[in-house]
Amino acid sequence: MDFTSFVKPSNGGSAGDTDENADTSKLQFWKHVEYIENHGKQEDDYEYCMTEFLRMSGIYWGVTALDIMDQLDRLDRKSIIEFVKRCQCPVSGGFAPCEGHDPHMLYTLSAVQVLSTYDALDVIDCDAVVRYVVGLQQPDGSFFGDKWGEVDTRFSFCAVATLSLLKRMEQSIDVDKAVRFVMSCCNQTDGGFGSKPGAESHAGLIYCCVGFLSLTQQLHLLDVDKLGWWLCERQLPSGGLNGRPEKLPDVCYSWWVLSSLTIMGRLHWISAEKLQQFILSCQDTETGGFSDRTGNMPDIFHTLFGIGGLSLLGHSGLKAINPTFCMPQYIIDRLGIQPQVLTHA
Amino acid sequence: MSDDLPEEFDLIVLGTGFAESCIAAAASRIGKTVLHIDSHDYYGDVWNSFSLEAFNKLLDQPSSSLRNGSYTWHEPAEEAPSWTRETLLEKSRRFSLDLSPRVAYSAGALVQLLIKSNICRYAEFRALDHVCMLYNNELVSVPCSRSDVFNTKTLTMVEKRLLMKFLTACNDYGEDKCNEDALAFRGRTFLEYLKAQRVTDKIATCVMQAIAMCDASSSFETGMQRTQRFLASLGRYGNTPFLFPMYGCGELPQCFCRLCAVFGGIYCLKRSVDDISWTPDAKELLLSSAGKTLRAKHIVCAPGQLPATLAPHYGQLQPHISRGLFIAASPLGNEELNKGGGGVNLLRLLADEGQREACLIQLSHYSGACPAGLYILHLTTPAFSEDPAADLADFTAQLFETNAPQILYSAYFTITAPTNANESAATPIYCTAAPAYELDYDAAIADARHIFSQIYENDDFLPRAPDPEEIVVDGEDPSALNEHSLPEDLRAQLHDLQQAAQQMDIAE
Amino acid sequence: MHGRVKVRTTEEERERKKKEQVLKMRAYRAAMTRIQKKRSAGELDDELLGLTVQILQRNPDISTLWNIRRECVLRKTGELQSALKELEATEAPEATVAAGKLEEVEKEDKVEKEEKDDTGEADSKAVTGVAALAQQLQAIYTTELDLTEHCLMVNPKSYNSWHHRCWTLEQNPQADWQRELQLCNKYLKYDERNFHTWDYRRYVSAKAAVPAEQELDFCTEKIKVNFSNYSSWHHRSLLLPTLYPNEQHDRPMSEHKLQEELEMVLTAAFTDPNDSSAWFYQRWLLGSGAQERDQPVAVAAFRCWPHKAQLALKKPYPELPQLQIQLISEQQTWQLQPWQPTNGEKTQWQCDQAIYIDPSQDYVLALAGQRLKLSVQPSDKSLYYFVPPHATASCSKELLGELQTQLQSCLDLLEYEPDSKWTLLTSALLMRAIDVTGYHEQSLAHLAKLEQVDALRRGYYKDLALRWTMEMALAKWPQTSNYPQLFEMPTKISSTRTPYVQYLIVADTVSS
Repeated sequence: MDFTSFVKPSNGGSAGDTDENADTSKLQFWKHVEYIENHGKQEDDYEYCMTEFLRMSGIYWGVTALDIMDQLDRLDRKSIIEFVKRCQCPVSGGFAPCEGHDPHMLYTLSAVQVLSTYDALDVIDCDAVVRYVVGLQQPDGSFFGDKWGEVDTRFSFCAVATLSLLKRMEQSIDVDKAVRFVMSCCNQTDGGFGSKPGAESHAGLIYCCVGFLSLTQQLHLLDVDKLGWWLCERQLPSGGLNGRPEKLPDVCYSWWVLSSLTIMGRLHWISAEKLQQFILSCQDTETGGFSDRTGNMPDIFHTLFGIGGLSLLGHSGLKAINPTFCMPQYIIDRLGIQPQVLTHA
Repeated sequence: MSDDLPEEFDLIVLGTGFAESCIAAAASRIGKTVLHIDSHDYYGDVWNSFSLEAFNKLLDQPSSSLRNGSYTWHEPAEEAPSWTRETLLEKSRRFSLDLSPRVAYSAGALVQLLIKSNICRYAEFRALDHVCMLYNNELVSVPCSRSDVFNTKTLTMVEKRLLMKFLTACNDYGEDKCNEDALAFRGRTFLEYLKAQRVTDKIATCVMQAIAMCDASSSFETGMQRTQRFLASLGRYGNTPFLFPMYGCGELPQCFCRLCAVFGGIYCLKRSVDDISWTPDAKELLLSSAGKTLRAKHIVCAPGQLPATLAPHYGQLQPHISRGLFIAASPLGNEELNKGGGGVNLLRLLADEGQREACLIQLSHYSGACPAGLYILHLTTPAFSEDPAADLADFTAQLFETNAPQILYSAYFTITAPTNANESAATPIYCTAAPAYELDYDAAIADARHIFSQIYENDDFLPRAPDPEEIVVDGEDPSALNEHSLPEDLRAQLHDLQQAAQQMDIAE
Repeated sequence: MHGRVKVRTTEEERERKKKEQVLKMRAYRAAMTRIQKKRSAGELDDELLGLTVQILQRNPDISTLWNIRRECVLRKTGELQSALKELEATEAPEATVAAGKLEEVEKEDKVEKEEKDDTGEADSKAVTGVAALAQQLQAIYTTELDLTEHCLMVNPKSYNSWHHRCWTLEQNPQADWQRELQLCNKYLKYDERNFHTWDYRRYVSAKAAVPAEQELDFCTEKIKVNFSNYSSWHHRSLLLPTLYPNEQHDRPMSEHKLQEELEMVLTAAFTDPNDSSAWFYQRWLLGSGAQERDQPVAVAAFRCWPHKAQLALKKPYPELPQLQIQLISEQQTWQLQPWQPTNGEKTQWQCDQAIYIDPSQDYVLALAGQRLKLSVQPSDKSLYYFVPPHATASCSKELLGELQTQLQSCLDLLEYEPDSKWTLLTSALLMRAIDVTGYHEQSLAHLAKLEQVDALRRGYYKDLALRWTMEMALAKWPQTSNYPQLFEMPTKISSTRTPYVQYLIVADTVSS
């Protein structure tokens, strides 16, 4: 189950990257490709081993980032699909992050995202996935993350995103109730959302809830002016965005705020140019990959959100990304899904 | 003094006051053999803290460094009938009455030195509760921190902003983001700069009296520098930029003595010196004491501990600091300034239209310097006469006329300094300065550092001392080494302190 | 991987670290293998619990291990509970005498003691047995709580640890909620912004039935210590509307409290105008409260011709076709349907239906419990309804006074700091809260200035200016001579991005 087996032997495609004085004003395209490709290649990489509990999401981050860079063929499609398949729980229908771990909503979405990207949803038991997701909805419309009862708006997003990709949102869950629960997590002061009713607004959870409303075609429930203001105030002088007031900027928050603003048709409320500068400054020009902030250690998670953010900002050489799913737009188009997006009025 | 005392030392230090102790510790720390002696039977000289009884005794017997002592017992106030002369004396040992009280800037020279040298493990401090000012005869707390400014009711909205803005500008002064128009004030006075910021009278008073601690003639640079020092010390421990040593300032010289002892320094109290002579090339000094002659390469001496034979070289002893000390049954100022039994507060007072100043430190029992329910008020001003009470009269009037606390005991005394302390050419002995009129220990540390660098030109002044567990000498058990080399009275204290003070412990 | 600074290490250091990691990894893999083996063999015992501790203490994010712990706990507590039941069943006759009153309980205690004495050894053993079992049960929960506490010290943002703590407390009918509240206080001292702790605090204070007043005091204390605390302002915003409700529902809370809050928040901003923590709270205070949320279908404008009707909504309402919408004259009622959206936002709808309009009669539009009186358009005798957006909420004299004082403070401040972003925006909002019309130009001037001083958000201020301009034009429109036939578009507004465009269905001509 090591990532090693997913990586095709390098075909020397990175030879084009001869630009040795690596600077952060330009996208270090091939460095990043190499970084993702190498991620976990070393048999005994400590970080890699210790993050096996979220492996499925790790694969989604890597696969999506490479696809956005049009380098998906660097990974071994067959073994990844086999891996995903092995992680489906025969009893519940949900997906575990890797073998030996328990299924969870988070990894179920990641698994479905990976298979959607590979156009291979037919290899798994989709009915069982639907059953799993439906079974986790609660009478108040919220969703558990797994059978142990943690409730969070993240799981509401995972549920509808999974079902949307499977095209099974109708006649499965109670969408009205699900919407009502998400809206009960909306805060009066700033129009944002937290993880549960009463929880403080947080850019990551706002992305989940805005994405949820986009998937359920309910964006009109948002107070766009109020929330949009809060979101655009996340941009700091460095150009980076933070997740909450008076916090440090971070590449992943930059994605969450950016995608939410895009869905709400308010991308022009922040400075795209400055944000791009910030994201590029978080590249590791030595090893490739993006970190949370300039000068920090890169990781695969921030690498996807760095690349994704640049794609959403229209950076050349990258495929378009869908703001709701954080997946390549062509795949969402191929599936014929149309998450709601507001146009600016 | 034991008879097996070695007869030869690299350095002999006379007097266990602050600067002398610093030098002794610094020398010992770099491996010099040090003998540290004091004519008194206590550590600290004029830097020590005393029990009430010992303090009275001191005032009764004038010495070379302290004179004009007097004290008065006052009728117990109606509100506090239980505090009589007798009850106070019963608790005599619960008092730590300082001869030279000071506060330390949290990021000032003293604290930096304590941290750098790792002596902080012997020391414990309390953060001051309030820095005060007198505004329209009323004692008010000066908002120091961001949250103070936010919470204070004494400033209007716009004043809050103006104060914050002014302080931010001072903080940024000299940095890249420094405001251009501030530069235009170089060479002018700080007051002119302050006025140009269009601040209100109240804010100007806050800044001049309590934050920059300036007078009208202070230069722009001085004011800036002092304000920056104040600001740099904020937000470290507690709500004000100041710390006060728990159990009184007398603890501090002892911290340095402790370090000196840990590195092999030898201590002798109650040892007077009859004479000091030296070889013609002044490479060796001979010190005769109690019929014995000790040889040293260098001698450092506190002004009050000079042998009578040498004292004339340094001129006459003149009044240097006028001190007042009051024990009161109620604190100065309102409840706000004395929450939960009283604050440890600081106030700078001005007289003669800002020509003269005094410093007031109020200690509640939280300082460990007096019993609960009582307050010590230390008043200090540069002396200009042999009558300390008269020197302080203008300030006591300001303090006690409108805000009178219930005073139970009052004392006055003068600390002296020789007229020619800096006359180093006269003898090869390095003479330290008497306690200066200052808030912190900057001058005292500078003095110690200066003397040390004259003696040991190329050595580091008090580098980080290893923790006890890091010291291993000749295969000895490190803790045994420590205890062994310590004088009896310090041994017990060290034991307690090692347990209590791993790092500097700030009581809130 | 958040916040890990990249440090250059020496070759030697790297080697040492590498070796250490190999060992750690080997230990991890061995433990995981053993855990999985035991779990699939159904050995949910103390050894398994012990193994999970080893890993969770270092890495609390491995949710599967928490799941395994829960399985173990359920197994153990299940066994204990059935043992307890058995024991209690043997003592059932005495135990069932229990009644609610204190005296009786006391009496019972005595009876029990006497009986114990009477029945001798066997029975007292049973009683201690019950106590011992109950103690064992509590010990199981305590172990879990201790472990989560330890893990939260390592990683205070571990979703899994927080959830496991909640789960454990939910399992235990004798959970000590007061202790949990203390824990929150402690953790919030370390990190006053940890939203997990705040969430947990809300959960715990509900369980412990902490009065809202007490929570508000806690919030106030936190803000006094450091007002740069968005979490605390947020918590406050949840408490105030219930503690100080507003009768008219046009403000978030009672006017009296609102005044106090406005003052506090302004004080924070004056102390440090660059700290954004209180901005959102302040703007919420200055806003119009819950009014709009209560009314999901808010009609902006309506127009009806003999052959069709058009309806404009303030906010999109996709479910409009499901509503019963009636046009009622003195003589007749028309059910207007079906409705089709005519713009993407679904704020404009059209219904093609023939209606007989007699200008001499009164017509009313009825939908969603509202009855809107219609007027007659003189040009073509069509019926119409129009209400301009955003009528400002009414102000009591006291509140108005407070707002004016605050505005004055802000304007004073602008004298000193003309480029202060917060002050520019706040004073514009205050002006609009005091007198939208009178301060219209001045508030727009502030937005123009903001475009310069806060260039990152230029697009936001531009849009806001457009909205305010259009709101003013729409508000003034009914007083113009050509109303409602002609609407003169304000010059600054381009035709492509017109806010409130749906309101213009009432006009025949929109001139620019």
